[in-house]
Amino acid sequence: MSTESTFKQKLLSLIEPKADALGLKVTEIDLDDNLVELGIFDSVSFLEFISSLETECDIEIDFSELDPSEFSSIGGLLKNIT
Amino acid sequence: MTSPFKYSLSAPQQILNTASKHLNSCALFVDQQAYTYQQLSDDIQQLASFFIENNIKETSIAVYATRNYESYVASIAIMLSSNRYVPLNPKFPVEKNAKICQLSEIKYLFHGKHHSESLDDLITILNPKPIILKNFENDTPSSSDNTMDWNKEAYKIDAKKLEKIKSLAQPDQIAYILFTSGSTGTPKGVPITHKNLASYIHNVASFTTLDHNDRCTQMFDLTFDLSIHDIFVTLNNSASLYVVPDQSVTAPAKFIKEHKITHWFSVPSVISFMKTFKMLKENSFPNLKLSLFCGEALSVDNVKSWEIACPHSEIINIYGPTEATIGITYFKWESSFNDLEFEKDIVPIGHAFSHQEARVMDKALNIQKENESGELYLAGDQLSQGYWKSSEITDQVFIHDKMTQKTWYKTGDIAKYTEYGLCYLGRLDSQVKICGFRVELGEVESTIKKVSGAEFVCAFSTPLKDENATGLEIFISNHEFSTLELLSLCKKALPSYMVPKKIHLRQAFPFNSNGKIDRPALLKVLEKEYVN
Repeated sequence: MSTESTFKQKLLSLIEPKADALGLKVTEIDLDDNLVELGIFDSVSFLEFISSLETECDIEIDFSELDPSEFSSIGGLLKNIT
Repeated sequence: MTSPFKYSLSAPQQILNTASKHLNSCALFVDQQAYTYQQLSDDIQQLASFFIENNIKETSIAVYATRNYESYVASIAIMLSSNRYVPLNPKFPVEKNAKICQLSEIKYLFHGKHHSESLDDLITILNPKPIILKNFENDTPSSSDNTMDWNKEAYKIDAKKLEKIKSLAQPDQIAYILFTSGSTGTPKGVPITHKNLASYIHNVASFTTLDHNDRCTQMFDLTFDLSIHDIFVTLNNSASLYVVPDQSVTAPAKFIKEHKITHWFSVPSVISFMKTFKMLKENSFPNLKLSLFCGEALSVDNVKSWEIACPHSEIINIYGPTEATIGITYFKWESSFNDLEFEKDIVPIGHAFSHQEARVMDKALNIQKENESGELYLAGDQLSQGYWKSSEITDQVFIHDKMTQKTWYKTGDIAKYTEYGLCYLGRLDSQVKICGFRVELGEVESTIKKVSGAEFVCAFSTPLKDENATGLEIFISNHEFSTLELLSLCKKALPSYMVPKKIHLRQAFPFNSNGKIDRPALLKVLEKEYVN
């Protein structure tokens, strides 16, 4: 399995409980859907989510050249992080 | 020391004057579009002319304030035409917006291009219903059939009208009413006059110089009075106001770099957010010349991180309640302070603006000695006359001192005077007694933050709302330590009665629309637990 698909799985597993709470299925979330606009995260819980993503995947993400809008979707995270 | 403030022009009038000298400069950059001073000024005049033609004056006008171009035009035009600007917040529960409309006696409601379902909901529950002011391009909320178009040919401006517009707003008229949440749950309206606002703008000019090359941030929701600073200080001084999109407000690093922002203004929490995202690297923001922080305690730790990212920026901590018009004391940070110990590791709030007063006093209005803590009282021409139509609450906190013939506003904040000027120590109502010991919750929070490295900590005494509390519980944002490890850290750093009895580790913290920790929301979490 490629790193990208492992990463994607971890990513989805972290989003899943939050999406469930909203009655959404992770598989229904479009790659371009903005996770904050969907209501899955608010601006602060999104930060917490990024932190746990880093811990889970043992990576350090450099956001200094990115705007939140560029990594607020599943597609954006995959593009900018893997 | 600057000369005493003499009122000559209202802040919105000053915008028109500035605009006439800088027609082609950029006034506003919002939703990826730049608007020149010419465009902005034309639109403000058009809307003000609409108010005049329809004899709408000294009236409360609500703006359903998403941060779009029309909202800025409306806020300025409403004040300019001697009406009272009352911003509503689409992020508030509909009941709160309705309460604000009811209390401020809203007759007209303005909304920008995009209206949302929440606006329909608001209009549905309002009684009497306001007249909706719309642009002809706008669609109208379905629940309202009472609308007026303001963007009509009939309201086109001419020289005569312009003169009339410029002469309308008077110093003692109310420019805006903002609502702060009262302890009883009913919001309190704080009316600010043109004179209050013009005095504030005059006073901040002593440490904020701006010209047409400067670019200032606009990050605050329009219901937060710091947004009034953004709009009027920037546009009175021919600079450009850069509206940071909602999405980027918590971590606007790229926006700041991309648009070469020169002047920053935010709550200190934004520094914490940006740290989490590792956005504060050495010289990350070389173009920043001035950074202002206000709205909550600024920690030394955060300032140090900010200094590294913005080596060319002055850093100023501003303090002030809405009742004293945006800000009334300030403290200029110097990098040589790095090794100094400040009270609780919090940056001082410094000294009152010139011709304003800030004093630490006891209940009998006796001035406290240096290094003795007491309640902070404020006086000066930035002070509001009192709460909107509630003389009872006004009398409780706007205290007339017969000796000095001055009115003092009782802030509810604890402070003390030190060699660096005033130091903020916390809220009076966050001072609790635990097993007889007087405890400042803010102190517990800052100590735990320091030892654990957590960005957010919020403490409550328990049993809740009991005068004789027996312990503390804390909420903490944390990824490093277990509850047990945190407890042992607390035991080392705090006297035993301040060590939390229970620690709630939280992934996410609730924040209010002003970007501050939402204490009432956390209190509700605890209350629920106790009921169960």
